[in-house]
Amino acid sequence: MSAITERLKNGIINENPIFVQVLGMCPTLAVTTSGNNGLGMGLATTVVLLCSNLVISLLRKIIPSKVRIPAFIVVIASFVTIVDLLLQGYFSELYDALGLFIPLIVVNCLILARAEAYASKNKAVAAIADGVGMGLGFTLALTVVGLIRELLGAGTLFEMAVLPSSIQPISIFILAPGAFLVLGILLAIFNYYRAKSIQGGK
Amino acid sequence: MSIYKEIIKNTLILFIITLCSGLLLGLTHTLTADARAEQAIKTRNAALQNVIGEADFKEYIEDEDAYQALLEKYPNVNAIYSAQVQNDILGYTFILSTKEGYGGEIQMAVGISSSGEIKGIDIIKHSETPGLGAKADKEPFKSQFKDLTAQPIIVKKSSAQRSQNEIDAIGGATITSQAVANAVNQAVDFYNSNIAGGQK
Repeated sequence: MSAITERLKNGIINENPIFVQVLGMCPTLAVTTSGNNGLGMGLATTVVLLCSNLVISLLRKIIPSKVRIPAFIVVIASFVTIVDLLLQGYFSELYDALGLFIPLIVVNCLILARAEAYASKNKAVAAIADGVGMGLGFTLALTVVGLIRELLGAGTLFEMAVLPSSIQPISIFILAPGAFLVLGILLAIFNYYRAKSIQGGK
Repeated sequence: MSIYKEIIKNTLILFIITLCSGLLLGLTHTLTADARAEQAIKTRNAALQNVIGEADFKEYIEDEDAYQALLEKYPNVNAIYSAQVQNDILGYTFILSTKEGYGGEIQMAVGISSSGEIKGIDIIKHSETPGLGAKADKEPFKSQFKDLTAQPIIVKKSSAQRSQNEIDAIGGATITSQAVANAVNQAVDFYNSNIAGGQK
């Protein structure tokens, strides 16, 4: 039990995929123009991460270490495509919301990194917990980046107007450069507090 | 000898994994084909209803050759459906696509009533920048087209006063706005030169 909560905490805080490991930068920078987009991308990634971790963990004794990377990629890409087809056919509302993000997940290095670093060396339950933890950490970070960009760049939060219309939004924040600015500042803040807590712990 | 054995073993395992994945993919693709096609039609009908209202939709021209010849003159127009309620023709819906968008193809539907008014537009598929061009699929951009007369539409960048058949571009996404308006204009052109004149 404690191993599972340890995995969750590890994914969300200690080894947060974005703020600590700096993985999956492509969707992080491209998709986080609003809180909703960040949340959608994060949750879609969490589901795929959970399933791919499970499959890789189950196959870990079969896959030879020398060809593990191509094997992982084949498994992950097939899996994502199957999910994509199923959503398209049977869950059209979910597909409308997440469909845009699913093809982006295929090549998300976060998923490959977790397969390589954790799932291929651990048992299925632990691998699932790792997937959920990392996924939630990813979701949290994407949503925060998305919300900040949305607030500054469009004056809304989750598409609800929060700033009076007399304030002109700084639209550079929902353009590409805004992603770098927000992410850089958040990385700095997160790591400042992390370094402080590590020092304090000593 | 062991190195060759290992190579062969690795190759075989990778081959089997790939084969299984391929088979699973093919199986899913076949099994979901009907459901996906059905969803696509539902999505299309929903899009058509959004721009004209509840109706039965039929291909505008049934003669396949004449239809193709006509469509070739209007590269943005993909399909035309007449919207009927019982025997009255409510109007016509156009499925349009344009490659002038910022992020690739934009697919949309436009409804023009029999009385010559644009009843609405809807974006079916797009890959415009989220938060900018993607706003083409949201209010207030879409509703600007509603109830315009079927005449060429002009896109203005945040004009203080709008005159007739002018719409405001989406802030930061002039290219997208213009692409949508151009496609709508082609539907308008089609309507005026092929439907409005020779109407039954």
